[in-house]
Amino acid sequence: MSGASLAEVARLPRLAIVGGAMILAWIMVALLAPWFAPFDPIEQDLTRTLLPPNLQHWLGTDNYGRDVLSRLIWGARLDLQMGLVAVAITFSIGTVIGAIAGYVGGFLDTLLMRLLDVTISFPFFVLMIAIISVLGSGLAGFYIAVALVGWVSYARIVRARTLVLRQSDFVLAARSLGFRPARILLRHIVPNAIAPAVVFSMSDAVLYILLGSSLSYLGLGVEPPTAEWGVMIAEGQTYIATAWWMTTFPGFAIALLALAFSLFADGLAEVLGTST
Amino acid sequence: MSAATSAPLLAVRDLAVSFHTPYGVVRAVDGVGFDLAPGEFMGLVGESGSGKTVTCRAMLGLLPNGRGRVDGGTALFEGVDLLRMDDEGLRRVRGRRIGMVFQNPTSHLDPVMSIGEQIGEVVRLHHGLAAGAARVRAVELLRGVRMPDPETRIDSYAHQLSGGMRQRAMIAMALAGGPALLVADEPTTALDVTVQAQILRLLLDLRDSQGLAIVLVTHDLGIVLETCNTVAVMYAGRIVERGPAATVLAAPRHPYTIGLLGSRPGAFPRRERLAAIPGQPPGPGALPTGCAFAPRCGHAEARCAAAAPTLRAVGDGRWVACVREGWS
Amino acid sequence: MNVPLLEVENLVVHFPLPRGVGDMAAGRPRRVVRAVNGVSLAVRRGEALGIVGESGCGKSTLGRAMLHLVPATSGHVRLDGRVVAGLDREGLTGLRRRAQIVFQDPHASLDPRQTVRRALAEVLTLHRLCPRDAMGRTVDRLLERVGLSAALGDRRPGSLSGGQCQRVGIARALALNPDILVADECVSALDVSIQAQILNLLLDLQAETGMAIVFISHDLGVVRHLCHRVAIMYLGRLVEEGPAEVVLRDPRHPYTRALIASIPGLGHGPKTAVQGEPSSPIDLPAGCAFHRRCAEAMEVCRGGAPPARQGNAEHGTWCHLPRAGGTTPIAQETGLR
Repeated sequence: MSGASLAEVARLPRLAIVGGAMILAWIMVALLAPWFAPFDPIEQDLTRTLLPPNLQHWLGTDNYGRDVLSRLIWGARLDLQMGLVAVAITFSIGTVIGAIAGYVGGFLDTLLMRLLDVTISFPFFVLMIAIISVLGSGLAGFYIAVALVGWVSYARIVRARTLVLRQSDFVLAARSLGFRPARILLRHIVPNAIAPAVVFSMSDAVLYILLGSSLSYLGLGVEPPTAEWGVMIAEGQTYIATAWWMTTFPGFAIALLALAFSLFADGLAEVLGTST
Repeated sequence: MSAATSAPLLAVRDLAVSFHTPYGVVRAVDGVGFDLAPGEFMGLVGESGSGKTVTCRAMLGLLPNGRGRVDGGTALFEGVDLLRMDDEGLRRVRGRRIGMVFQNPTSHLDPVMSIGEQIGEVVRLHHGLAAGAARVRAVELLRGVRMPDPETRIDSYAHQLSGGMRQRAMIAMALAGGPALLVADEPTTALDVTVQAQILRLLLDLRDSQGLAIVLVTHDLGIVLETCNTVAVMYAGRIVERGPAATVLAAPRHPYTIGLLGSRPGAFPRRERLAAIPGQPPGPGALPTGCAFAPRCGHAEARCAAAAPTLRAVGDGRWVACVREGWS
Repeated sequence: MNVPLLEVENLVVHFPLPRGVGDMAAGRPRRVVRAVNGVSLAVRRGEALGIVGESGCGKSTLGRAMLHLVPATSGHVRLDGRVVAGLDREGLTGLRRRAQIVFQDPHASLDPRQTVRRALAEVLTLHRLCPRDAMGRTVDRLLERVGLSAALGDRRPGSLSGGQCQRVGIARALALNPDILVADECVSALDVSIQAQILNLLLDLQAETGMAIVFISHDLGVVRHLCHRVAIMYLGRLVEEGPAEVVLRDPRHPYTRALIASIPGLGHGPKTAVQGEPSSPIDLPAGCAFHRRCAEAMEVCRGGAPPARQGNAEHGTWCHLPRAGGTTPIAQETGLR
């Protein structure tokens, strides 16, 4: 994202600005959860279970009498974190591997690309679940599994761009000016190669948020009583006929966050696509 | 020659074209007009963005869909206004009466059809020939454009041909309908000089043998001098000077034409500074009021900024658009 | 001081093509692009040397090999009489500082993400040519030397015209005060009026700094204007070399004659001076590389070794039957004034 100037932001399509604002709003909600949330997300109050949305509990309460809104707000912390950290990990690993493979080439390239082929030859979800069941559930397991599997897309994107850029005139110019290979790679090739990867990371974040909640839903991610959207949906499904608010609102939150990221990704793709 | 006096094959008047760009609506061609006689070889000269290509495409209804629009003017070709024709009519004219050759033959030839199939398609479409007869005609056409070994080459695909052969194939396709006018947009720019000379020679011979009228879009005044009867020089969407090629290039009268000629290496003693035109052409959407060349012109005066000068006849079949017309 | 500034000797640059599975199965040998095929050429201090030829003749590769930007397959490059190949990092940095290159595509040769100012400052910083506190002024002066206003310094290549980008490319090369500048088709992508401005700039800078210029171009007209000496290439080999004036008025090689006759604007009408097109540098013919297109080819041209250099120290030609050109169109000079 280096060098994204104000002028470039100003060229973003309107929908992308809406998406960006929605992401920012979610981040604010997550950061300020202790102040925003009207109730404690974990403390149970068995006198007030399964209340429908009302003036005191805007989104109702669950089967343990916890405020759904408060759990939703605290859940944003965890779900955003899962999405963003997972992307940060996979983006970094993938970019480094892709750039090195593309720039160095030869045997190292072949080796890394075969490793990539092996990784993607397994179905993504099956591989994730397999790794997590070995490592044990929880956030750490989730992040390690993501790191092992998720880098491949970034490595592919960045390697392809690096191969093109390595042959470009400005890289030749940099060589003719006596710049060291490491500098050429880090300062001239990588910043130009990551634009498509940045766009991809936005939709990838959505994937990891969904993945995190799905794993939690399956009992392989974050465990109850932690406030997390996937956990909330899992807990609410028993009551779906009588207390629709327990599942509907977390589902809606996931959809809203996913929409925010995709809108922003589309706009970014348009801008970066035309400027590079 | 008598070309200039006989009835025009093509008469363009007040052609205006605008484009929708990120900068808003931009006038790309403004008030362009010229006559083309049968058998006339006209050079349409200008730098990139001067509107020379847009002029040709607008006449043929080939502006990019939805972005370019003809705002006004007429283009009478064999008595019919091309600008007011429906798509069906234009298609008919384009294939049969007007042929087009583009700068980059690679991207204008279909990569999955052989040269012969592509030429045959045109021949069958416009002359209703059967497949066998169309093939015979295609070989004839290829021979006509001096394609080496036409009987074999007819089954080649574009990627199997050299740049010069591809351009010959394009010309053969353009000629397949039997046109009266050939519009060639920078046909030799992508070619090596020795091949460029071959293609230009071919165009001249086609003009002589078939009485073809040719509009040659080019940025190279040297090519104009060697091939064209007449020349029209464009700058920022307008024709600034036109007339017989030999006299215009020997004694240019518009400051821009003078500047272009001065910019050509070889026109001056070796290793001396060229009389380059300062500055650069106005960008899209940044046209100055009045004469568009005034900001780069050594002779600009106050009245140049007032209104864009129109083309005026100055004798000897020459036209110049400059307020100073009268100085020599 | 008879040692040339830069000299290549029997330089060969071959690029092996990737071998397909089908080729391997059929046992076909790896195919090789023979871009430069044994060229010896010297660049003298302060001169402008033109290297001319059609696309695929190897002129760009030769220019890059001179600067050690592509590895030579065999042969030597000498700078001040010292062999360049196998330089250590120190030596390579020295070569980079003394020999610079400007490319054909003005936009592609600049990093799209860097502002002009940052691009120039980067070069000055990395070669420790300018203290940090003087950077602003030094960059402004560089921009001024290539005719750009300092205000353009904060722009990125995307918002500059082709001519402006080319000036930035020249400024970046000048930052190192090179002794030799290789200009690889550096005006071919520009409009005629902008091309003239850049040619003037190169002439001015050469007069100001005394650097040598190797001007690689397909345009004999431009080369004739700018260069003291000219070398004509065809399919990886030199066919003629000598003072520009002499070569253009009295060309000895049939290919040089064909090139001259093909320059548009000399007022003799387009002439098909030579038939056909250059063959591919992958399948080079035996003997003289030009024999397939040469109207004067004899038995000796069609096989065996390529012709050796003939002529004197100043004006040489690689042809089995070099002959005086008589009058070329250039000798008569009837065209555009």
